[in-house]
Amino acid sequence: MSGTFFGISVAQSGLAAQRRAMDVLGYNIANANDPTYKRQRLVMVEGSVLAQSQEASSLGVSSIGSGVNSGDIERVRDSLIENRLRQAGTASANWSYRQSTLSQLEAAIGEPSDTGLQTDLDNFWASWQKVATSPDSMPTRSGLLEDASALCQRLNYVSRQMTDMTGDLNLAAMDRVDKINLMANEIGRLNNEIGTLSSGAVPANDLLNRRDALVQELAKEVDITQHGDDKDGFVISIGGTVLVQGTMVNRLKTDVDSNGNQQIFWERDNAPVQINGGEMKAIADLRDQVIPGYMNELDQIAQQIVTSVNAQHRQGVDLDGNPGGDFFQEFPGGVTAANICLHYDSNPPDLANPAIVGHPERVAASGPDNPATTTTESGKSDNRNALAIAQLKDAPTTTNFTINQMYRNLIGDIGGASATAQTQAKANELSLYQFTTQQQSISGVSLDEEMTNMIKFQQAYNAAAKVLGVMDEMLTTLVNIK
Amino acid sequence: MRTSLNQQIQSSLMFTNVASQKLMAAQNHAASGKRIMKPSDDVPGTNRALSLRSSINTVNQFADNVTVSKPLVDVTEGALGDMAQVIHRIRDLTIEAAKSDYTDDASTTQHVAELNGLMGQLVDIANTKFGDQYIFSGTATSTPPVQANPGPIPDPAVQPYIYAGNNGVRMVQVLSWVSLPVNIPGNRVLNFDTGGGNPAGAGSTDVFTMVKNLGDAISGGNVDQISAQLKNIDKNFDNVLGCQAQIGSWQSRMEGAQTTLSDTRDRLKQMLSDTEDIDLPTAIVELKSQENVYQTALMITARMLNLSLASINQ
Repeated sequence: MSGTFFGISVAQSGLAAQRRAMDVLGYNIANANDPTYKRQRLVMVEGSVLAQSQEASSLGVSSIGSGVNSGDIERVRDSLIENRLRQAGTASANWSYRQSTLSQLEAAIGEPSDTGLQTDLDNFWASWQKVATSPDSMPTRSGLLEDASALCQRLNYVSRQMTDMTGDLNLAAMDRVDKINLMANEIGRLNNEIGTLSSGAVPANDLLNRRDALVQELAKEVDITQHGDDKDGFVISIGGTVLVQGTMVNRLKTDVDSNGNQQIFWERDNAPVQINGGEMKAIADLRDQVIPGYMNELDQIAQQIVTSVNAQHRQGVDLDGNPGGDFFQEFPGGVTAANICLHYDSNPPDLANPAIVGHPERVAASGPDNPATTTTESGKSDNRNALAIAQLKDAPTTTNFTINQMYRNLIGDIGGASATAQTQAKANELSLYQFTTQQQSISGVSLDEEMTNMIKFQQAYNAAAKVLGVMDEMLTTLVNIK
Repeated sequence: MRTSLNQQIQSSLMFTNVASQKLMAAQNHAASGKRIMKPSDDVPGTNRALSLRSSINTVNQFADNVTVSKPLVDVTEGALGDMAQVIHRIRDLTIEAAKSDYTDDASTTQHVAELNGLMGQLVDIANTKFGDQYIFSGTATSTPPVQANPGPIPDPAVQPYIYAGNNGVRMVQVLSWVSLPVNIPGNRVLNFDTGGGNPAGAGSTDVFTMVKNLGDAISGGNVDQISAQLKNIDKNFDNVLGCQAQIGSWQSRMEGAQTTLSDTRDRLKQMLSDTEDIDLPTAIVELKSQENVYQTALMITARMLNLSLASINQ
């Protein structure tokens, strides 16, 4: 025969379970709007059969379980989906960063428009035509020097924009490394707390949620791999090397390389970090390959302009009858878009190659006399050289493209890369959204569900309380037997 | 599939966001009037647009070249016309003086005086300026083409004036494949021999020597000698007319170029507009439709987020 108070303790376990379930429900609802929260569920397990609940029966011994065990609270989650979600987060962050940087670059270049480099180039060639049509007009020559100067300044400006962008990317890299180190430290600390609190039993769910959220954030910066379970043996690695293992954390650091760019290394052994995804990858790619590629193309355009114009200019004669010198400044290290400018006086001045800046009369518009014939052709109104330079606009350069074609190729490259980044960013955002939906479907709090459960738990509580009440009456009857 | 509260919020947020982005893009296009605002909007279109802009700039510059050069050519043509008239008068004078009843002193003096005046006119026409440039000096336009012969070679008594300009011809580009000359060097017009013989043919002299020889012949009073000058005069007259005809052909080619340039410019601008600009009706329809989508998304979000068991179950 089971104990007197057996029924009461069974009912009481039911009460306790439903009340605890309501606690968990309240906790779920309180955290419903936290996107990193994973809903929790009270695990109700049948109480085991105790010796005192056994009764003899016709078939032997019958027994009832001792109520309901309700100590366990589990997080509802699917780690496979969370893995996918993390990977999607990495890819999405990568493409989003590329898209925004390339959009900035497009905005800095500002084509097609009336105020871009194309217009300055066109005006430059047009000015040579103007000089060819009115070779002895000083205002026209001054206009040419002005337009040439404007072209140089535009090239300088675009080049500077790209250099500034590289600088910003380096700052971002350093910034991100600090952030990664911080997050890794925090994860290690959480691991410590989780280990201390759980001591082999059920770990603290809120700490686990916080850790998952941090890992998701970290995945945006670099492509990480996560192994290990919730308790010990929790490992995060980047490119095969461990970042966090349990409570041990490896720090990252930055170091300047030969191009002046910040590269990422492990602090422990100075080995380079293998980064293949996330924002850090986008930063590294843009800064080390994509933008230098564009700068190189721009520099080549500047070089071709200087080479072809100077070569032709030196074959001409200026207004004072002197042979033409350099029109653009030549630099011993090579002309780039950053340093292109009109020819200025060297120090000490070279009389055979004086400055063009501020000297419109030194523009060699005239052609030279042909020594083979006895007639003279060179004069103040001779325009053969100016015409020849004006016609360089459509002449193929040493690259077999005209200067205009080279510029259009550059714009096409930038536009194409930006368009691709936009498409990819949208696609990856959508993919991220799909995985988020799936994960939320499993782990998210549904208010409807909680409301329904609330009714369920309330009714069960009422019923268990009623059972308790009736048991109490029954005992009272027993006790009051005289 | 189970849905959670966050999912609902995320989903409505995302679609509202997408609708709002599309609305903003449609707004930007309609307000700016441009279909291509940055290269990534249409990469091949941007390539075309840049190429067209460059071509339009070129065409504009060629048109400018014609506008600046045509007056010079017109002035040159006018000067040649005047010169032809003067030489014609000289010819008439020659024929008049060759009549035997005009060999008396009074007529001779009259003729010689008129001849000197005509010589002066020729010098003035030869030294015509356009702005501050001498038009018949070749490319040495700050030097007067015709100057008194300082001697000793050739003898100033034989050749009164020399040609002080050069042989330069200035070309001006009026179309991608066409460059036209805009000046005739004075030696060609005035028939000076600068090393290649007299342009008007062997046996002729420059116009000033021609006038001088005529003056000498009239002063000499020999009718045959006067008549013999006609050959030289005719050669020079034909030469000037020939130059005038040449300039006339340049003028008509310039006018032809102007028409071509104007048509080309219109065509290129049309092509640029087709490439770069939006089609306004399409853009406005797009704008309205995006507005609708956005409004619908907002309305649905507002209604949906209000639904909940908590508010229904009382």
